[in-house]
Amino acid sequence: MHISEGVLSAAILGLGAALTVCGTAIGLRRLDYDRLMTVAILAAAFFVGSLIHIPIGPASAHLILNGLLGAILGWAAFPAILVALMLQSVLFQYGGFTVIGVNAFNMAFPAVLCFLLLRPLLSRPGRMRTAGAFCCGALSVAGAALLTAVSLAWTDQGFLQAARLLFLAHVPVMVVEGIVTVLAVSFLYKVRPELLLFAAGPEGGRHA
Amino acid sequence: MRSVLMILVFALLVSSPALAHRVNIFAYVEGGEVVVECSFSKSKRVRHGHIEVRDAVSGETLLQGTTDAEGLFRFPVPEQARTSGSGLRILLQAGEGHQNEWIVDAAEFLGAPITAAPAPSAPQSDTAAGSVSGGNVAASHVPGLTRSDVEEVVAAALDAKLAPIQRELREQGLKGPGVQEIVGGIGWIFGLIGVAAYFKSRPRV
Repeated sequence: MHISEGVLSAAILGLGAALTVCGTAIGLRRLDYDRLMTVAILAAAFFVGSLIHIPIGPASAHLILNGLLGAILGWAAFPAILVALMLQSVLFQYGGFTVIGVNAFNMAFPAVLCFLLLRPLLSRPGRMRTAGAFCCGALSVAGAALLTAVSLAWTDQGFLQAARLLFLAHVPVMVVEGIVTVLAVSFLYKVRPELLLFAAGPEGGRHA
Repeated sequence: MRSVLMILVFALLVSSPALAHRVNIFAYVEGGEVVVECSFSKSKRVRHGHIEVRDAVSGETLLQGTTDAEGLFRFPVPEQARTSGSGLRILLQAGEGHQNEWIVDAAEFLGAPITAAPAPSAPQSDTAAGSVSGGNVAASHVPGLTRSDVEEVVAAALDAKLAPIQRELREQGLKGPGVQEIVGGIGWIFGLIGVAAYFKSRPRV
């Protein structure tokens, strides 16, 4: 889902960059000192996650893990994803440097949106939280595929074809990421509930 | 958190790095025609990827085409490129925002013989090059060998000999990120967060 250099028009690149700057600014403002290490660990997980391929189905796609970042970090997913994507583009040559804004927005925005929408579900115990975490993981990937298709709508390929291909390739990824998010969230809730932004508590309330 | 990371690292170690986030393109000149190879990874070729060949200097589109099932696209060196002496810029569009390009330097094809394009769908480049050189060796017994004949034979033999080296080079380009890049990247992330932590920390009295 990394769009390469030279595919998109300047207008879309600029729009993506502007939106990413806004998201990152919000993310940094809401981020406090105690949570910096969580952001670092999840940014590292996102950075490495793209190397893991899921060979199910006709097309293999890689993990994205944006839903996991959204579920745990909320708005701070923006700076985390931005940093990880920058390093991926410099070190792995994935995507391109000018496309970082668009790529970061495409992956971070659905994650934050899922977090905001699913927070009531996530903060409830038991099965509700499991369902919320699964949806957060799976729908963030679907949203990223949708936004990538929208970014490609003005290229030769067109929206419909890009969307169809991206969705087909990412169905297995959605399932896997849903499960990964459920496991991570339930594990963290048991051992370190204070890490979870949505968990009940003064910190969760302050960030709302 | 640590267990999540451990799972990720483990999954990374067991999975072979096949990369669909980057598309690779490699082109070389073989006996008067340019061969373009397109792949996502070592085993995954770009099928029906759109290829556009442009003049590297003027940017004018010289020809277009699509890759076959093996990710290959062959075309004879365009006349215009020979006369203008500028290189070829080969642009690959593999769909879903994947794009890459390769530049063939003019020096690579200016020395190559002008041949009629051989069978375009020759599955093995080696056999094609071999048969060309064989035919020319037979012809070399005829007296009155011209300079261009010799050049043609030598070029064909060199193409055949250099094919494995070219393959080696190509596969180096396909290598995914190594441990160095991965560990380095993680180090960068923690370093940046360290800087952020320094600036966010409240001064202690």
